[in-house]
Amino acid sequence: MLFICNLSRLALVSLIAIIAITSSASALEKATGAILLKVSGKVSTVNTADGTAVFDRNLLNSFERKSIRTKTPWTNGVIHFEGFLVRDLLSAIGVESGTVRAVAINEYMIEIPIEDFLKYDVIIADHKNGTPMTVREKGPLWIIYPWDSDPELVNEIYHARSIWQLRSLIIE
Amino acid sequence: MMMEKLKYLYGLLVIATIIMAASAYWMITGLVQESVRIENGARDTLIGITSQTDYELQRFLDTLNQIEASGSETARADLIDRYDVLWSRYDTNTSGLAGSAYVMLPNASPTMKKLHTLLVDTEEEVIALAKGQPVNITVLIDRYRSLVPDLHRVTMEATKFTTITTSNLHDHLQRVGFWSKIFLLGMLVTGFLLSLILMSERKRMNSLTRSLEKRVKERTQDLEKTNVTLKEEISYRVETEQKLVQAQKMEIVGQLTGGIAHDFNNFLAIIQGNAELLQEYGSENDLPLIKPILKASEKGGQLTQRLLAFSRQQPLHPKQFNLKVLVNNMNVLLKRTVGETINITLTAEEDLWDALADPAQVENALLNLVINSRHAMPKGGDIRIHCSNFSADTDYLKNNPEIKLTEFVVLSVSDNGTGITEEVKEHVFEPFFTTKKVGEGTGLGLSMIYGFAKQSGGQVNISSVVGKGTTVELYLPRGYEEQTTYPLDHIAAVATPGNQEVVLVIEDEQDVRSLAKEVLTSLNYIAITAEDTVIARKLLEDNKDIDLLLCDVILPGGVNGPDFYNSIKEENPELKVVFMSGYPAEVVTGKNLLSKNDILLSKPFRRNMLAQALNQALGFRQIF
Repeated sequence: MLFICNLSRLALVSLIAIIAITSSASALEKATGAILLKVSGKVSTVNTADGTAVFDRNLLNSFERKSIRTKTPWTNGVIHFEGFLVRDLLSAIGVESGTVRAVAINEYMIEIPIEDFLKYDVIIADHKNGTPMTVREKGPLWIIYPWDSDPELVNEIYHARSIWQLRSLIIE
Repeated sequence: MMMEKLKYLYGLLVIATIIMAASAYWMITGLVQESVRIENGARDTLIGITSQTDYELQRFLDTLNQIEASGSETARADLIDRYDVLWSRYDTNTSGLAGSAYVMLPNASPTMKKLHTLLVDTEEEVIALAKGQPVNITVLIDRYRSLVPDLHRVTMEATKFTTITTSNLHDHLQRVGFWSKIFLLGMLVTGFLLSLILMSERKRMNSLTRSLEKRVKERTQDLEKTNVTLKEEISYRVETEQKLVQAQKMEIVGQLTGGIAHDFNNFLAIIQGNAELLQEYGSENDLPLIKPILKASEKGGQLTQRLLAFSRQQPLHPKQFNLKVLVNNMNVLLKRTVGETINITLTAEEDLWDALADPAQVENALLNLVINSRHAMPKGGDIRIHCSNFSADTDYLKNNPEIKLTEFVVLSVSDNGTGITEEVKEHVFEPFFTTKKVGEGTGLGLSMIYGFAKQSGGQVNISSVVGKGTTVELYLPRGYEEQTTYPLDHIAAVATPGNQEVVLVIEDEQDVRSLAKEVLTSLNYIAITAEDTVIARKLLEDNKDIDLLLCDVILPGGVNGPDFYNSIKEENPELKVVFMSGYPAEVVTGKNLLSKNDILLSKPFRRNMLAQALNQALGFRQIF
């Protein structure tokens, strides 16, 4: 039931994304504050001269907010994560398929297939239990999978993809 | 015994298989559980965590070294990030599942505390350094470098722990693999043995079923056979019963007829005897009156004779004779009887046996049969008379339980006349049953033949098809004597009177007694009479000159004539005897009162017959 629900929502979101791409192809605003996330590679909608899409906190906050309550192997108890859906970000920059290479501040790097974001409500979290996350708390950005609601995600593969201290994405 | 052992083996194998399967299941389940536990314990992450911590510390030290060596601005810009990332390791290494696994490692917990303390202690210095303020960087480097061996040790422990876990798992896997192989092999063997047992069981069951089916089939066939036999037996019994009922009916009718005829004979004897005396001594005028009396009494005698014949109680004089010769002798008489429209053919089997019966009665029977045939063929036809031998086989004796003998001479008379129906056939042997018109027949012909045949130890068969003709077969017992007494013409010879011989008459009936005395006197004999054996015995003692005893076969007082004669014979060796009887059935049919040479006079008898019998007994003249 949940799966079907997700699929229908996925279809709807895809439709919205297509409309967004066609109507406002170069409508991505310029970042004015400190850059939190830089997206490079095969990106069709950009906001810099070097062909990348960069996001400050303001731009990130423009995405629809999304919460996930879940346990993780690296935290104690259930954590309330808050952020935005990865697929919202990808559709905003005109990415539909492929692989995302996610890179952390410490240059930790992991490849994530885009299907993950289409299939599951994966978010890029910036708040933990209501407060913004610092680098010391694995912030400022952390890719969170909905482990508690989708138990099949509780394994090493998705644990490895759950990259913290996220700095940039490279679309391939 | 063998089966019992096989049963035990079967049970043992089943139990062994179950135990082995259960063990294998238990071991594999245990292995899987262990594997899951290790997986959930973030085994892989543990090395990742420790080495990552080492790495972050190294990068932080690296940055510090770069600043110390060249005062690099890039390094200075990265410093806070490196510092914060290192800081985040503390949180990561002590929180969650991965953290709890990490702090279990020896020396891990104090090392983390040490790291945390150092980070907090040096926070201001690091921030100052990042801002380009003067800081004793060498001391800072030394302090962080002191953590390197500690963290490295923890990493080594993590590696060791993981290796041990992996090797334990491997050992476990090996063990499970080993036992699984053994159990699988065991199960294969037990399975094979079980299938062997099952196969042999099945074979046995199959053969059992087959033999059972065969037995059922055989039993069914047996039952069917028995059923057929029973049906035959039933129909045979019904037939035999009917025959028996018929025979019994004839027997009863015969007894009744015989009884009447016997009493009637005594009366006839008196009438006839007195009429004969009247004829001898009466006046001439009475003679026309006496003749009808004699004629009537003679006819009455004939009738009772026939009745007695039917009731198998006529006095018979069985002789051994050749049937072919007898029939031949009658040829002329028979042809005259049937007339010119009917053709008679005589045939006989070669080597025909002699028959043992009363020839006079056989002649009588043949005549009767030919007359019957003539009546059945009013417009003429053929009569075939055939003489043959017959040997009764087992089946024949079974179907005719009354027959005691096995060899017969058969006189068969066939015609191609009107024939008779089955219904008529059932009654033909009953007395006074006739299909002829009133006055044409007495209805006693076949009855007489029937009685005569039975009395002689033979029988009569009749077979007929309506419109085709009738065949009557008279079975006469075979005679085994070497000498054949040819049937002779036994018309009575003229009686010779006596010569004052003394005759003692024993007879209980007063009238018969006095009649006998009268007749004997008229025949020139001296007659004395006795009404029972007591008187007779006394008379014999008193009169030693008694020549002959004229004695009833049946006497009052329980003694019969022949017995009485035998009892006095020794004392009177010269004494001759003539028996008389109106009821001589017992003589011929089984009681064997008389021996073959005894002379029997059947009542009623005429004067002439008495004279002949006396002549014969006294040896005057051989008649036969």
